[in-house]
Amino acid sequence: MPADTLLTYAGKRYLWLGTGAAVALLVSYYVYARDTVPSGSTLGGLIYGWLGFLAILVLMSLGIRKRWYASRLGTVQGWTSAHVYLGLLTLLIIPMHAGFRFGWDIHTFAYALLVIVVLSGVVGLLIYLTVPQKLTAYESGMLPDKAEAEINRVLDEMKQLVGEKSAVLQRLYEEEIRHCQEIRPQGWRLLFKGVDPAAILSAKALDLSMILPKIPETEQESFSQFCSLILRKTELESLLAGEMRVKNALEAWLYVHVPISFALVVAVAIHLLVVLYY
Amino acid sequence: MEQKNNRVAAYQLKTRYLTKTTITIVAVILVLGVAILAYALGKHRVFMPGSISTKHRLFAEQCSRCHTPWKPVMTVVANEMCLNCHSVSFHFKNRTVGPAPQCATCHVEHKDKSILAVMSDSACIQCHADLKVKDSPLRFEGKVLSFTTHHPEFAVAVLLPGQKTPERVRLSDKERLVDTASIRLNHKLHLQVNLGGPNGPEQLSCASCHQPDPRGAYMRPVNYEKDCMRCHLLDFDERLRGKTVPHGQQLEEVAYFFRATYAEFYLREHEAERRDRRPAKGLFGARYSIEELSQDKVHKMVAKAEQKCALCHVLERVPDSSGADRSAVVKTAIPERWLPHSVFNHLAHTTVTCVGCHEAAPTSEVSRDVLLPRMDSCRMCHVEPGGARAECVDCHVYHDKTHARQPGDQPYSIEEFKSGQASPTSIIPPIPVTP
Repeated sequence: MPADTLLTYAGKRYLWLGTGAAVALLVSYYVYARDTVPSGSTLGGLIYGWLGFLAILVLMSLGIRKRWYASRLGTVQGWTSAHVYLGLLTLLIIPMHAGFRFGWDIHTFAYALLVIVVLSGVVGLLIYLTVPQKLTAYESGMLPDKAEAEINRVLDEMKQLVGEKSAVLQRLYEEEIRHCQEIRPQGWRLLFKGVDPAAILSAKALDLSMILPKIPETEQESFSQFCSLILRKTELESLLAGEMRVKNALEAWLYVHVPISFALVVAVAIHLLVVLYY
Repeated sequence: MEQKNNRVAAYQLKTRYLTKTTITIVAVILVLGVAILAYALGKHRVFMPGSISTKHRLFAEQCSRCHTPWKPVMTVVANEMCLNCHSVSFHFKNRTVGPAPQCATCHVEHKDKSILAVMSDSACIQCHADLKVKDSPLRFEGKVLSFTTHHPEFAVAVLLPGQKTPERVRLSDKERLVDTASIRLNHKLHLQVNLGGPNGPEQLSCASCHQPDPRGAYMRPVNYEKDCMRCHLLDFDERLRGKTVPHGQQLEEVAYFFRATYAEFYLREHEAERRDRRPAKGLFGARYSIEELSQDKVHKMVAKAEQKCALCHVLERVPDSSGADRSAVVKTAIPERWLPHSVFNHLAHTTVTCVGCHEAAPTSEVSRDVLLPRMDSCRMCHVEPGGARAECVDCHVYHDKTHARQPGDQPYSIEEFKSGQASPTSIIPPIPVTP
């Protein structure tokens, strides 16, 4: 039997709860809107507002539960499953609270932030469902730290190889080292541009073949050894880049989801202040 | 081996400055900053939960014109804030069981409604679906849900003889429904074909006598000079063609009129003798004799005139100044408005014929008939949903506008009005309407 995903945790428990809650909300809204002009200031509107507020608090506390390793309050997986469905429910609760009326004001802006948060969550959910299998393909080979250590080992081998050789080889070695040390942060670029190991390798091989004529006769053999080391290093690098790219994808959406959710909390606080003050 | 590599750090998303924490801080500061900026710049409109009505947009940025801070949840704006500008009276005396609705109970702002005065039925039926009063028995229908269903038949005020106060009689109450106006009119006779007119037979229509008032909403009262005189001349002497008794006088005044008229014509005829101070010529040859002015003759003329009055008017015997009984014309008291607590506009209905609604008029022979259309004739078109509009406010008036602020009583200068800095120097306090 396949393992539970986020959506199907504990026999789809939160799917059923979420669907049931949505149906109950819709029925309650039908009754409420039939007799009153729906708005946030009616009794029904206030109740929906409270529900939404509590929902947001529970949703935000996933971040706390995730980091509270000692907690026995459910499992993180269960919490996350509930988080997904509750988050989708808020998309329904808040418009019910507002009587499905929107305008160019701070209150609708808070809801817009909520929509961004939920949509980024949906994107994250889709990533969580599709991307991890790609990661296992890499990790069956080598974890990033090990890959990095292996690259360093290759570099050491190179150093030993070019130790007393000619200036050309020395220069090549220096270039490789400088390349490694001057590498710039490129996590985001990597994410959007993608990694094509085969293309990188063949480009490198082409570069090396261009240098071949400059190598003196005596060092041809060392050079070919050097070349295979370089290609090995390049292969390791591109595998590492590919692996990191997948890991980044699993994290990138959180750079929208988390900050905007805090901005949402602030917007909700302003909303509460405004409606309670006046 | 030396650490020549920092590839993992370079390939990860997190950099020194671009972390989830820093983005969060920036986002929070942005939201707070924009909100504070909007408040400081006076753009208070962005804090409104829903736009306000068109006529209040002048004060959109001044929340405190209506709102007081920290009022309890689920209460509405207090009436005093509305009455700072608006001068209205309310709907009923405090005889209802529950508290009277506040202005803002029915007129709710911030609901994206562009005209605040438009009211749906639900505002009215919150009381009228089950009307309860405190002290006296209920004089009106207690259960009204909509015009299409559950609405009572129209009722008019009838002052029967011997009663001091008028009674409300429904148009369906055929026994008690009577037009007590003291006038005699036979609609059927007037509408017949080949009615004898001043220039031969003619066919009258409703509009021959009934004309709308200047606004077109209601019919102006039927007026003798404008509507009746063309056919019903009050002439009294063939020798004096075109000379008529002025309408609207009691019979005593008619007697004076006769005497004065004949005196004038007598004097005119004997002008020469008067000038020459000669005695008047004898009776023979004169057209107007002094006898015309005798009391007896005048009495006879008045008696003849009385018959003409009685054609349309009701007469009664009243004691005159000398104690004797005389005939007097009873005040007609024709109602101008039968349904004073509602509004109607004939102009909006000019596409249909008069008899389309006033079906009973062509066959009515006596003035006792009340020729108002009944509710069913309105319901031929006015039904909800799908028909012509049939909401409470289409016909009924909640606020008594007669007590509104009159010209000359305005309390504010333009600057005071726009800024809201002054309280009104004179407000007409709301006066409850006697139902």
